Amino acid sequence: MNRRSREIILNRLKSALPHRPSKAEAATKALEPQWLDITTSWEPLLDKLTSLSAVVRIARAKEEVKNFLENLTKKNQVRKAILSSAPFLERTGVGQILQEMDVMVQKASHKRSDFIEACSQAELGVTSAQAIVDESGSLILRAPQGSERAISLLPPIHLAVIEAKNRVAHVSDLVGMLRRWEAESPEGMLPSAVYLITGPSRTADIEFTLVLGAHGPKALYVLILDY
Amino acid sequence: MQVQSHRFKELAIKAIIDSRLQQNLRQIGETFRTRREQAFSEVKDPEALKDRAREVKERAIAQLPWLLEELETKVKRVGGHVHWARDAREANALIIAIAEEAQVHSVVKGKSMVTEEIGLNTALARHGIDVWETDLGEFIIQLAGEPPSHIIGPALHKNKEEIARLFSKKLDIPYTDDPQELTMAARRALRERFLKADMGITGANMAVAETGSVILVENEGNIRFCSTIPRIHISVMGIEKVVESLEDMATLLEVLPRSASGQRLSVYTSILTGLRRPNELDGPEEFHLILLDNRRTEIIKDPELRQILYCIRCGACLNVCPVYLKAGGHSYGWVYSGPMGSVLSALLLPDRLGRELPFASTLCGACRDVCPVKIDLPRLLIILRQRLAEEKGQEAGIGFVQRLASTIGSKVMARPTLYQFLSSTIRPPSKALHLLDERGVAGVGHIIPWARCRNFPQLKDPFSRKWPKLEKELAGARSNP
Repeated sequence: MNRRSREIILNRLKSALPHRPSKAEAATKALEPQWLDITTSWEPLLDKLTSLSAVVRIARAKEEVKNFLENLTKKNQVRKAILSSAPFLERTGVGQILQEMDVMVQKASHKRSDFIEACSQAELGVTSAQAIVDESGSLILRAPQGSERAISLLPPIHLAVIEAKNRVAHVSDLVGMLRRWEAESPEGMLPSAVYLITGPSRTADIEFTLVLGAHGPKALYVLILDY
Repeated sequence: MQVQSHRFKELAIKAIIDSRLQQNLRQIGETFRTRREQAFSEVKDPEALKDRAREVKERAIAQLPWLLEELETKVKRVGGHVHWARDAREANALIIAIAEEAQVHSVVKGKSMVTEEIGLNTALARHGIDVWETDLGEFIIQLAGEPPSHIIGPALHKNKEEIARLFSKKLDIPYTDDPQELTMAARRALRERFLKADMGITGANMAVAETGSVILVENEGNIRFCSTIPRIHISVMGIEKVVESLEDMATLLEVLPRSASGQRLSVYTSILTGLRRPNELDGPEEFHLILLDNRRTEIIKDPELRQILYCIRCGACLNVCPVYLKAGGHSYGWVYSGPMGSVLSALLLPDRLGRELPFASTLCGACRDVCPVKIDLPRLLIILRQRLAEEKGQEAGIGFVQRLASTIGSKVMARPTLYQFLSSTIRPPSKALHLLDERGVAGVGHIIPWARCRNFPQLKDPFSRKWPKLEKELAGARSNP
């Protein structure tokens, strides 16, 4: 039945458009994003993030990381956190630091129902990020990287940890990143999910009044590691 | 929803005298306009950007059948299913079949104009499937039992007090009109639904043929929920939403959030390619893409009308339309309103139900000026007017009386003082006009409604003072006819 509909629709289209326009000389497809040097000014990015109500800190030593996490957990009374199992996040030691602050840290388990339950209970979700975009203040996250889809969505606070060298200038740099991931994947496919996250969740559906945390996180913290 | 588009005039008159709605519409227009202008002011060359966006859509529509075939191949390659629906009935049947096969009892839904177009919620409800709208604006109107009044802010026609009353009644919470508290109440109610739902249904802002990806843009996070937590994700998409490449996607992402809500980017942009992979814990186990025709294959036949398929549903044209900003979204009587709605509804609705809508325009061209893909909406409206007139068996040309009336009208309109003078003189005869209308004098019937909606000015200054200005006008006009 559906095959018939498919044929009918395609036939109608092809009779309205008998010739496929020949491909214009295709522009060279981007294969790599343009990474920004860490010495490039951080001011524009920091301004953008602040105007989006995100809280950002560039940490140049482990002490600063501890300090930042202390403020975050105290201010938001964080008792439970769920961490993505991305290898990068492991290396940063953020999980350990949180545990030292008496936060119960859970890692993404293997059982889906337990995992979703843990995400629902946690006040804080910690993920890595693949890149941060200067132009818009956006973070780029991708699956799988330790199940960051739900971790960056369910808990009311999302903390994204990223290396200072992973900064790009424009949103369009995302395309180069996507192509690289496609090329790296054994099946030649894009990741199942890629997200551009630009600030905490918001709505203005009631009389244009801005409210944060409509469904996604109410607060977005960005920790940029420069050491 | 019950289509009411053929009652546009009647509904618009009701809307015009609703002073609270008029206040809301003024705010809608001003807020969205200012934000859009600000967002585009950051762009180095906005016209060049719009030209690029236009080119992306032109190229996509020119290759539509081939891109749809490529999209299907790629979606299947990443484990998704593709279904083709000729019309609303078929689309709903497909979705219900998927739901029944998977024993789905409850569905969470993201905001999607196309699912309203096909009346999905009603169809699901008839089959005993619970549907929860999760976008805050859509959630509000679902509770209220109303259709959306604006593409971007479906509940913006409601005041916070109305929403407070609605929530306190339907969600059984203490009365509060604080938007923060109301939003949190919705968040709590819907969080439960997200976690329990068997299926999430969204639309698609675009689909990329090259990779088989569906692109979804939002600020709240509800669409991410719908496409991450339930085990099945269905995306319903009009066939015209496919684009060729990732570069094309990036171009449209530059204009869509700016045009719609004045943002550089929406809070969440999701690029979804197929289902959860074997080593992943979150994401759907099943993904279905429903490709909807519903007369789009008719529209594409006409090389000029085809342009309406470029529409990216940003709502910018609504926010600058003098008719929309007075009549409000509900007057258009269906899913799509404002200038793009006038064109689409006239083309998509059966039985000429949309016949009044192409006439609901002053042809001022503000819509064409703001459209991020440069659709010539006034031209499309004129073409539709011509078609509708021809269908009615009217002469393509205009008669002598109409021509005379237009000539007189344009001469008077070009002379403000003369216009004022003549308007004020209509006050006394208006009673006489009513009498003539009652007696059935031809042509008078057209003047009465026109006169009813206007307050005619009184000639405050005595005629002697008005005359010099009037004389100058008439004299100047004689040298420039």
